[in-house]
Amino acid sequence: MRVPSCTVQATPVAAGIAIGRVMLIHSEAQETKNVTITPEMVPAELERFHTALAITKKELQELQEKLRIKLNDSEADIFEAHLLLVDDRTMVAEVERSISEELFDAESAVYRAVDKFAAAFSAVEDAYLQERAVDVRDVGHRIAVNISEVGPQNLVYDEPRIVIASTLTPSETVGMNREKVLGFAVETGSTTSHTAILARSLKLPAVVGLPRQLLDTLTVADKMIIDGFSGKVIINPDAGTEEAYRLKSREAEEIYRQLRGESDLRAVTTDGFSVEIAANVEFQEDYSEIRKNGAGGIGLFRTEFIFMDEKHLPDEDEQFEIYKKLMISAGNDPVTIRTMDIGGDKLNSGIVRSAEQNPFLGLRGIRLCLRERRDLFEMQLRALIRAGVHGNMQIMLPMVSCMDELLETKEIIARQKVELSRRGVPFADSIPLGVMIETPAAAMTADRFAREADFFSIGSNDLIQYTIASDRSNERVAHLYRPAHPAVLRLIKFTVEEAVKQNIPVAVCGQIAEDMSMVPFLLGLGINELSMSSGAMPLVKRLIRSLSMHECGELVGKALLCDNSADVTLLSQEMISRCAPELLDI
Amino acid sequence: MATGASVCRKVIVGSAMGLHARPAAQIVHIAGKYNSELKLRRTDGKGSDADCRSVLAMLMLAAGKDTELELRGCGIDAAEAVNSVAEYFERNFDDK
Repeated sequence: MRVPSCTVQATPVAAGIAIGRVMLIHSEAQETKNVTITPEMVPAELERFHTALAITKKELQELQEKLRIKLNDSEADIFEAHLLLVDDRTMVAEVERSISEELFDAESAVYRAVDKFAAAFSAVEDAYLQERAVDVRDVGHRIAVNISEVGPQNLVYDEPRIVIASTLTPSETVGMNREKVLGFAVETGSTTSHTAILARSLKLPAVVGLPRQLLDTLTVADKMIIDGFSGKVIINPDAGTEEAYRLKSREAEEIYRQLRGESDLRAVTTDGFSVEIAANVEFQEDYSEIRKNGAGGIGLFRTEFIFMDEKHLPDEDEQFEIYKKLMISAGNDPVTIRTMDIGGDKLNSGIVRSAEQNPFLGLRGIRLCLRERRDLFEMQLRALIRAGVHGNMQIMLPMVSCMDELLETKEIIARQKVELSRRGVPFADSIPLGVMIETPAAAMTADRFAREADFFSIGSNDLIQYTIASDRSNERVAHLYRPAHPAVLRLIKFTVEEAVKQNIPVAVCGQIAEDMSMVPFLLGLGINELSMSSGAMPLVKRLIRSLSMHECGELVGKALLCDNSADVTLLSQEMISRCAPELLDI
Repeated sequence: MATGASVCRKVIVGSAMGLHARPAAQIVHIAGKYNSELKLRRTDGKGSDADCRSVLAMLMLAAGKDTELELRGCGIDAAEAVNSVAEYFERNFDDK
């Protein structure tokens, strides 16, 4: 049964057009019962189910062992019954039947089987058996949780599909089979969510803000177009619409193809000012490919992904190998590595010790490193300075809000050097240490920071969020989150001016570095380096080659005096339509 | 599995708790020692055959105290298997 043809407006977060059938990914074991699959996917789903069974069995055995000490034998026997339920023939046969015959995915099949048995128990007039419905549900839920943790990475899609989801965890996104994904349409998230960031680096279109009811009704038979330029999502399009989008997609590809041909050209304005273009590189991405797209270095390497696996935190040597590999792949190009920015929305329950009421104003980034997880921070810094001998490394600290944080980190680094010398391990002695300017506090005291830091990198996503006090993923205030807000421009202006006085460089590594309407302002404000997802580099470079620094400077002067962000954006759009009209539509 | 004799015997649930999860689990253990297929079903015709290797199936018999069940074994060691399980019933599931 297909959903009727319709169009909805979502928020575009990664450019491009994708046309294809959908694949629902659900995480965190929501009680899904209606997710269907195609016959080709049956073997993969069966495998997912059986893998989860094995994990659940092991978990219950461990739990039983632990409890045996505390409980008497007959109570522990209840666990024995739970354990037997896990690979109970009747249960397993019912789930397998539901997957292979009714074509439900593993989680839905488990929940449906559980419902069936629990209903049978509840119908019996026997209080004891009625309670057994609870056991069945409990075991069923455990299995379903484990199925979702086995994750979609084991999914073998029959054909490349558009991934739809309520939310995607970074590990789910990273684990996805890239050849089988056409694009992403997700309910929650923002331009700065990891799904969006990863989609851009994979050059896959993505939208967020997909209406909830679509997630509940779409099945594997439904087709979808996502327009990552406008944010339109079209469900089951008619032939004419689909053809029009194929055409649009080809045109966009043609421009991108042209632009890639120019990737060797430098980003120099018409009046001869050059800007460094660097890449935001994700864990497991291949820099040599990204360099071909025109990167002159890595402006941001996020290390959170390294700590994504909650069950295994990498030790110093494992981290050293990861960073060393990265340094070697970059050759002589500069590589800016950001120390782990965990906390806020980037949670890893193995690292963050307690949930907070207001995590974005809580213990995240450098705060977590200096307070609760100094052990991990010291280990990461040792691994970094060791890997520093293999290339041109810079270390960058996230979420800095006061000078003490920078000074304390310097002391910690000095102590790690002593430790490494004592162990006789080689390390790089003079790695530049910079701070991210992503809190208004850091921006407003840039004059102080500029004396102690070796460079600045503006993390615009957080700087905007904290300056305007607006959470972009909260749709009730998302309209206030405006990169072109004059307050943001003023903070950047002050930051750059103070950096220039101390002769240190300023980069921008947030979303605005690849936002066409923001680039003219960043140029005019005197930013030295723009770091962005690799997919955006050709476009931004073409734009910069079309602009004059002189005009950008004048534009900034006008923008700083604007009343609101809409007026600011109009200024740059007018300039782009004059200087680079071919870039307007993409 | 080699087919062998089919052995049938009536058993009665003596335990006050009925055939609940713990004894069902124990029956799965006992049945697991033999090669024969073992099934239980109510003699009053309610419900369906329950595999003695499935806790769930046995629970679904909803067999409370005094329920009469037919235990049927089929396979080369059916007689021993049926006897072992029947003895467990006779011991009232070893309830203390």
